[in-house]
Amino acid sequence: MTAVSATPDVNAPAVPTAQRRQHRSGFGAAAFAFLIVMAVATLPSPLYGLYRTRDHLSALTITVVFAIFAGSTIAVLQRDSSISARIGRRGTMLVAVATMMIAVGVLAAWKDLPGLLIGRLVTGVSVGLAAGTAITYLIELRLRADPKASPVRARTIGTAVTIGALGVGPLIAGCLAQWVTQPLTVPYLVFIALGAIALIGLWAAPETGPLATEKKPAGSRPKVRLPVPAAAGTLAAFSANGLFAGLSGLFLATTLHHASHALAGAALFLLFACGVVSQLATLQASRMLALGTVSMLAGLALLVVSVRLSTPNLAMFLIAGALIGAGSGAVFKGTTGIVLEASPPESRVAIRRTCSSHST
Amino acid sequence: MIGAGVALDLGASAPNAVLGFAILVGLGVVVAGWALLGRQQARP
Repeated sequence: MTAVSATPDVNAPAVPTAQRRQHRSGFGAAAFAFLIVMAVATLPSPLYGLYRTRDHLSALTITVVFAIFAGSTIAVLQRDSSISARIGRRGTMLVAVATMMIAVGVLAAWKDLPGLLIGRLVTGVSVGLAAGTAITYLIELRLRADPKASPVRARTIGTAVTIGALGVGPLIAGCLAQWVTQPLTVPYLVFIALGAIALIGLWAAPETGPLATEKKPAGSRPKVRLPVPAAAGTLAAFSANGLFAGLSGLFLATTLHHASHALAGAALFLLFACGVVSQLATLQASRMLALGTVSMLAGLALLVVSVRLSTPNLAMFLIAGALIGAGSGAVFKGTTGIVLEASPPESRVAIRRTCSSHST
Repeated sequence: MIGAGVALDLGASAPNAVLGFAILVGLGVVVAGWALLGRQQARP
């Protein structure tokens, strides 16, 4: 059996021009596939209000739906290396997209609570598969297309797709829920169609992993432990994101009296888009961490004030979301940067993976 | 998110749930950031 290395193959041999073109188009196909799988992670967020009204679901039940998704994502992220070693990075992405299509198919066809739980469990599997593989695959495709290219740009695109997609999903679902007649069906059908396009693109994309002749022993993968402050910082940053993402729909409908699904989706898009923009900044890691912390604290303070005013303020609420999103993106990038600076090169891929699983 | 959902289910109002969790998350970010920057400066 062949095995695929867990680290990007930076020193790949020279590739003929036709293959380079194939790798370049494969990069676009992989980025698109990654985008739609990650978008499904947050796709139902503006729809939970509809589920809650339709089936009289409690806040705790919705919380269990979130927890099931997070649990399955983390479980798959832990095993992702061994999966991509067996079926390759392209194979893993194909399985991730196919699994995502099954998940949204279940959500579209079975709208009761068991269907919602199973659909989100399967969504977590697809997100875990894609999140653990896609960025490495993108870097390798980019380096095969242009061996002189910097892997940093591919990594930046991968990071932007990861967080940006989390905003794109609720924006699409919120707008469709607002303006189509079957809000709990149409958003999912749209993503089944997008998934079919992604499958076709990935089918034509080349495999990249350096094929090893021997299977690596199980203990050869570097095991890393994040320093406690780094793990706590990442956890806190994404808790703030989760707090806003989870409660914004409820606040908009009840406290702020704006029951628009499109607005609920747009609020989440703003949160995650600001996270992408802040991650594109090229600052020193320690400065990034400090600025991110200040932004997040200001956002949390504004959020509390905006919903506790005698006349709750929508603009203040949205600015709070933007500051929290930008802050959490900066804290994540700063924390990861500080840990990477202090780590040996062979541990860096594993550290990034560990940070990703904490952020989930 | 999960904590806030449990708090709401136990009867906390949404503004109170946000206040409580904002304080927790804010403290977590500040303490973690402080510790991480301290470790970085202590490194040779």
